Amino acid sequence: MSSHAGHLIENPHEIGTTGLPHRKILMWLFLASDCMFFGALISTYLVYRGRSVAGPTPEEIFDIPLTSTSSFVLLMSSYLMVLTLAAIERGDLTKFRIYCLGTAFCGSIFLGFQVYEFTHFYHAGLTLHGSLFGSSFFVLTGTHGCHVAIGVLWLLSLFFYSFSGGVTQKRALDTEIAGLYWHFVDIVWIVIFVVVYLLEYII
Amino acid sequence: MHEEDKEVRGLSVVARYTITALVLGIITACEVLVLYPPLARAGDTFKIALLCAFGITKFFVVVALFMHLWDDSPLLTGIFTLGMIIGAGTLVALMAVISVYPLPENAVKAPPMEQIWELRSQEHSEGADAPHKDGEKSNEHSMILFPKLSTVGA
Repeated sequence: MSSHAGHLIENPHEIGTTGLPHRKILMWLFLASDCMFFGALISTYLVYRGRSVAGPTPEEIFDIPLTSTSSFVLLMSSYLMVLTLAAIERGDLTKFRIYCLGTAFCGSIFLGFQVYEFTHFYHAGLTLHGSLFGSSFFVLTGTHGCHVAIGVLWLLSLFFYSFSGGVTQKRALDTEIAGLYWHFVDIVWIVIFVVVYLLEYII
Repeated sequence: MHEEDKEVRGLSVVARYTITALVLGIITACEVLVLYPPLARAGDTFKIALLCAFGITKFFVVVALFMHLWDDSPLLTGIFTLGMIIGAGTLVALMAVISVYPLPENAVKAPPMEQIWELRSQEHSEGADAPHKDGEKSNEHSMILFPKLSTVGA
């Protein structure tokens, strides 16, 4: 059995007949359902792709170097998140706080990039109700942005909770669950970055 | 576990994650490079294949190593795979439906957005002043803004 399947669990009642903590299974079930949700949103974007009859086109407004930078920042936040979990599993609370805050900071930078991008697009004439591209693009990337914002709040709450003694080595599962959510947000962006931004310049 | 062993294990874990993050960063840079020279002149199919390969690699590296599915319970892998299959299935099914029953390319030749807003504001002002006087013109505007279903696909 792996190190991650055999966590130090404070409350033994958390482990079910599967041998896994209930909360962890629940989080994976949520992530699976979120896969379907984003699958539907990405499908909608692809179905409506190239059918806008008004408004600016993706090629006119996308800024690939900027989006690549924000993608890189989100990817690095995933790296910091995994270090956060490793730190709390070792019981190193100081490093946990540094990495946790770093992850939330990277998430905030990503959100800042997204706000800048949305504002730029709006001024270029792309609105939520102006064209099919605008509607499908803003709904897809906006939903992802909401996920990132929730993740940042979650990480910040973990960070502040650590000062009240609520985050310990025995309760590393709390951090692992937050980490799973954060990594999921990252992999969704990996798909969006390729499908929405990069493929637009080729197909 | 002794403190020294704990520290050595911690360092090796950090090193492993750092290498993984470096690889992911390099792949992201390669993704962007596909759009620029020297690959800019390569065939579209090749570039699409390359981008998909990079995206899939990043996706699975994060899922397997950062989300620990690689060394975690197969039950969790099953749950997540099921979600992914249904999500990807939705995409494939929708694209297939659209390829069989294509959406009309230009159901209505829509004017530029500026003109739409102008027409809309005219409609509002005309509606407020004399709602029944200029029925024909009003209908024409409505046709542009809210096309009849019968025109879809024409």
